[in-house]
Amino acid sequence: MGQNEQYLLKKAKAGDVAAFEELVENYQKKLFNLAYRIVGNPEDAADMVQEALIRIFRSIAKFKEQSSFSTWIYRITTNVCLDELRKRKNKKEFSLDQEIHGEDGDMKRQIKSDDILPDNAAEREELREIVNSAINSLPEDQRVVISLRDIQGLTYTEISQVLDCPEGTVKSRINRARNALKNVLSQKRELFFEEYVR
Amino acid sequence: MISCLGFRENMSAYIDDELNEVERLSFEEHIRDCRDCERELDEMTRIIGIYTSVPQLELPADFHAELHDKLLTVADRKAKKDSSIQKTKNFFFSKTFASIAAAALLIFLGGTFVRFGLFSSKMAADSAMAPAAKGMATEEADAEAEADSFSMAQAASEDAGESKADMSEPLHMDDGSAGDYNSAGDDAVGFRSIDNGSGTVEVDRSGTIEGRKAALSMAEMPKSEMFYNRMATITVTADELADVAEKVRLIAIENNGEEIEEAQQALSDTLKGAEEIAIQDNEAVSYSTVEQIPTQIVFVFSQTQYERFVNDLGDTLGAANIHMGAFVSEDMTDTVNSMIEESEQIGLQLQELQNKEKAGTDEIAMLKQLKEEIDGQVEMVRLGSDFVTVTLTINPK
Repeated sequence: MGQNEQYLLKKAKAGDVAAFEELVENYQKKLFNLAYRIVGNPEDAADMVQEALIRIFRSIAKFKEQSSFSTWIYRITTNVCLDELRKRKNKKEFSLDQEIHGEDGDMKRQIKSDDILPDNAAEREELREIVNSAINSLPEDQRVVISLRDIQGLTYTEISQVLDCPEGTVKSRINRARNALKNVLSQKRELFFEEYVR
Repeated sequence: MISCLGFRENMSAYIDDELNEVERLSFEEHIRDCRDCERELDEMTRIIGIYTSVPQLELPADFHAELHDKLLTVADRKAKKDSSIQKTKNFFFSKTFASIAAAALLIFLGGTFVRFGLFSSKMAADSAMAPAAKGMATEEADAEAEADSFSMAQAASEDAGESKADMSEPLHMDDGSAGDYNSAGDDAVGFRSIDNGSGTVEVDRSGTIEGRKAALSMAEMPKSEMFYNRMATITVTADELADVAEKVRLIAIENNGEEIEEAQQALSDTLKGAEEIAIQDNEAVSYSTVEQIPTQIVFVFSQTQYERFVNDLGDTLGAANIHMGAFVSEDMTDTVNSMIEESEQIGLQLQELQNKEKAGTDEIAMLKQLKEEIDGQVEMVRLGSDFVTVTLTINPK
């Protein structure tokens, strides 16, 4: 944690909203993408991140800095998202079809156009849909580790702190998740074999 | 010789550079010799490349503005709340402790518990307020539970040194006595005066039972609010006493347990109460006898943290030395409902006053504050739905 971050943390702890916003500015997009991977659609993901950031703000004065700030906020965000999934399970308000349908429609709007190269935009789009449905097919604990590792770039130690579980568990969960993704995506090979094979 | 299967379990960790030196060298050696595993490694690396190449989503356009508004609201509410929160917290914690200690003490006094129906009911009613303490402990509930341990233990136990041999008995609160404690809680329905002796809240609830019933039938039924209470005893040799107390505190802090403050003060109040009753009933219990209560520590935990705490405790001190009493659960739904009703009535009174032309501003301010405090308490009770208080008594052998 840099000096500026320390300073912002101190001010945020005293209730300074602007300092808090600056402090979490660089994490917001990451948290949003983490939440998106866990809850499966952008609207809920945005709600979850807002909810998590509110909780973080409310309890920041009690953050004792025994773990790193980033680990702490990943932890809260992950738990907010998992709580949401649990609530949904109880309510059963989403069918899988609805989820995927809604997500595809919104995805197109959310992606920045300059992320997609014009000459293979259609293929890129297809790839993204395949990857989304592959990741969505994983059990939630695997979606979480794979996002923390491959999208957020956390180390196994950091992930074990976020999830409060042993590193051995993190290691085997990541491996299982990747094997599952490999099985799903390898079947789709013909779709992007030429573009993406090494 | 490790099989291919064993190496494949390490494959992700190898890619992520999370193997130790020995594992890594062994993995690389195997890959050189095993074409299948090498192909598997290439395939997995390629797959990771594919799914990580998908660009990240951008935040929705209104995300920042929306968050900003919410943060301002929270900051505003927080500032208002902070002023009253500390005394409310102290109020509830002292109540919790007083009632638990009183229950234990009354049982200890031997048979007096049932006879002093009014007193025990009163205590149970007070203890029924305790979930609010949990509300406090878990205010900003989840985030806080996930936060670094918000340690706050302040030594507040009553270390009274030597104790008599038979003192452990009353504190082994198994089903029987726990049942008494609980049924005393049931008796207490309708007897809910909130008074604290320190002037935080002073509400006379006599004559509001009808109103409460009406409110119950009219208002939406809230989900039931439960809180749990558990008595436990740890038996140690007399010279280990301080050492064990310290260990227990450390384990509790590691598990985010909050030690209830003001235990000392609350306990001495309880002792006075017990003494008065003893005198009333010509019970030959002197103050000096009740003073010799063993070391007692009360913690507040969230339920998951509570389970971890108990496990850690067993690991450290030896399960054989710990006697866990029965869970005592109390349904707070009634209390919450009556508090909501109280708040609504004050709201009506306020409206009336504000409609009058010559309303006393002092009275309005007082009522407003009262309403805010009651609302705060309701919120606290509701926030902590997975809260456990643990009363640990450390008994010298």
